[in-house]
Amino acid sequence: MSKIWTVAVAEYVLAVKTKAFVISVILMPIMMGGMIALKPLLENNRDISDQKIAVVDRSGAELVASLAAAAEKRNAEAIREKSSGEQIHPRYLVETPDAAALAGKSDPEIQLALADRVRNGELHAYLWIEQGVLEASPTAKASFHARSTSGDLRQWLGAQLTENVQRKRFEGEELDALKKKLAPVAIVPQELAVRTEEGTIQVGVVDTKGMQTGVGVGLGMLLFMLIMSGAPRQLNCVVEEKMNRVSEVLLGSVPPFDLMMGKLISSVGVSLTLGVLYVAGGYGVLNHFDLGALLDPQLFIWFTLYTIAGVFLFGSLFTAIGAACSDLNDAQSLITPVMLVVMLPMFVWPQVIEEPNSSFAMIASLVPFATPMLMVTRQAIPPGPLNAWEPYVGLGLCVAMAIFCVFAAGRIFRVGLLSHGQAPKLTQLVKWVFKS
Amino acid sequence: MVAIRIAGVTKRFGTHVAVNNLSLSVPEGAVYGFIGPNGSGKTTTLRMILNILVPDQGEIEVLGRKDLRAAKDEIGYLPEERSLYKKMKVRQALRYFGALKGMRRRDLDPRIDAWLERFDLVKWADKKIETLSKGMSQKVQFIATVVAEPRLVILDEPFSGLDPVNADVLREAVLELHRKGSTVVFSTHDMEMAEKLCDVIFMIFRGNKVLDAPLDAIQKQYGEDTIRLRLGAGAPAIEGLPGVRGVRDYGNYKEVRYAGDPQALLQLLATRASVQHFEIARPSLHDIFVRIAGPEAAEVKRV
Repeated sequence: MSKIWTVAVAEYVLAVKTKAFVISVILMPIMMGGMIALKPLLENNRDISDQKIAVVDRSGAELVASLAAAAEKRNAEAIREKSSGEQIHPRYLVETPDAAALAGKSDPEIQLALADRVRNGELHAYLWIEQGVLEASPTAKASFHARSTSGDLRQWLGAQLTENVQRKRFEGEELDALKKKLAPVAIVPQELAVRTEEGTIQVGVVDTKGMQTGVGVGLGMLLFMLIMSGAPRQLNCVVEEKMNRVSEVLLGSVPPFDLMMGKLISSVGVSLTLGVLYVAGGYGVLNHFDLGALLDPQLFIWFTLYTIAGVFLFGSLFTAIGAACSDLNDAQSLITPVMLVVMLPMFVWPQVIEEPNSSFAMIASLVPFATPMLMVTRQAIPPGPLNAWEPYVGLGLCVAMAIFCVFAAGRIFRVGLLSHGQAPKLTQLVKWVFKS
Repeated sequence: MVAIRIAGVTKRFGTHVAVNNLSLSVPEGAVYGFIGPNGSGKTTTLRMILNILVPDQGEIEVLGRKDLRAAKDEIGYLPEERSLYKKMKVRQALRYFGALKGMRRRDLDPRIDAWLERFDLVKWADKKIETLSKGMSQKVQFIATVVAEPRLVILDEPFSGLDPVNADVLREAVLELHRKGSTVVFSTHDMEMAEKLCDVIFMIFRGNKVLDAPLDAIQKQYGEDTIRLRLGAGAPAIEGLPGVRGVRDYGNYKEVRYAGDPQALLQLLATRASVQHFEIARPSLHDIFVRIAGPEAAEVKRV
């Protein structure tokens, strides 16, 4: 047992000192912390310099003045943070081109002149409102010209222009009343009504299922990532040891099964280290947005158990392939069928998320190779699997399959580690399992 | 006491018999040379001693233990191809291999320091193995083999690729292990080194034991039919002379296997060329090896 730990500790230390691991660890707080810290940071550094817009109106509806009024209203009311009064958005300044300057010029000439003013920074953008806009002519439009056509300004102008054109179209009529009549009916997702312990009936609780589904998908994805970051690394490591003939020295000191177990335990250690960091980071982010309750501690325990079982299950398969092959090219052909098994839960994931308690989802999540990813997702989505036994049976089957795979991989590992030359076929691997 | 006892061991790979009914006894404290052509079953035998492979038939006992797993901690193994973790630092690798032999850090560190000092590797202790030269990594590999002070040391081609200075340093280290009482099994193709170092020579050929005796006894067994001679320039060829069975040209001298009276040969040669050197010698291990395993070798004669 002590040799298993010696191997596990040495491999763990080697793995966590790799650049890939360090990058994974550094990325996590950057991603998680970035989501919290970056938002206000970006807001603070937003460009709030004035944005001057020239508007040429060919619609005949005299829309420039109303746009200028809307801009002034916005500048007065909507560009400062309410609590501090600090300006956080730029002022929009609507400019009407001087009529004298336009006189005698063709529209293309005017557009070119405006474009030049945009290019030299005098204007931020110009808006060209075509004739027929008011009459809702199918070809009539307003065009927005700027160095960058993305951003809030175009959207704001679009909204204001629509509002003002609609008002003109309905001039003399009760547009507000009409809008009220046309208002859509909102459908708000809410929880099923329940009777509380105090005996009152609780209705109207906002449904967080969508967010909890997100948590489930996140945990499933994380589990998949942890397994996929550990198992192929193990394969590379074994092939490299074989190529460097380190395995022969190791086998001179450690029985093959102990060596493989040491490697698998180190993989579990690496995966759990990353998993704990990521889940803790995720919890931190959720907590920051007052959504910490979405991550049930019990779910975290299941997640840990599935990670351990999954790493043993897939890690043993990849380790066995590594031992059977003499180089990475050989390994590719043997990896393909295993990769199909690994990808299995990804193929059925959308259906499971859609209907987490369908018979299909239940059966799929009881298939040992898919259990870790699918069951944790189902458990995260309320109300969870309908039968309380499902996670236990799923984990039990997964552990049983992991034990079988570790046993089979141990056989392949023992024979494969000393075999060099052409990679064995799948049938030969099966023979090694049952005849060695 | 016997360090390794192999009794009637056979190992097959499919239909190929790699080792055939081998029996061998290596006394404790000996330097035992394992020789044999490539693919003759040498490495398979070593792997069975190390319990990396399990024999199909027969029994192996190492350091008095039939459970070879229990003996692993007392065996140091240096494989032919140098095998170290390239990304590990020197001290880290030595600690790891020492720990795999069941040693504790506090016992290991002073030994590691002493070996690094001896091999002039102290300043490389915290460098990654990939940064070492071939000779240096070979020395690190040797330290990894012996740092746990094993009772049985198995060295497979320990000197290959080393310059003469480093080869001497390593050879002296091997002899010191021997003086301290370790049994050394030394597998090599370097016949000269085997002659110099080994008390007993074991040769395996096509899976069968063909030699297993002290060098002196082997040389006696192969008779004193070897003559080393150097002739002056322009001497006619000696191949085809009566009694001359084989001529090996080493450049500075020729080695001749001769059946007959050496004095008669000397007289004959003196009439044909200037004889600068004429020595009646025992056959070298190299010569014996070639006689057994060379292209003209007869059927395998088991011993």
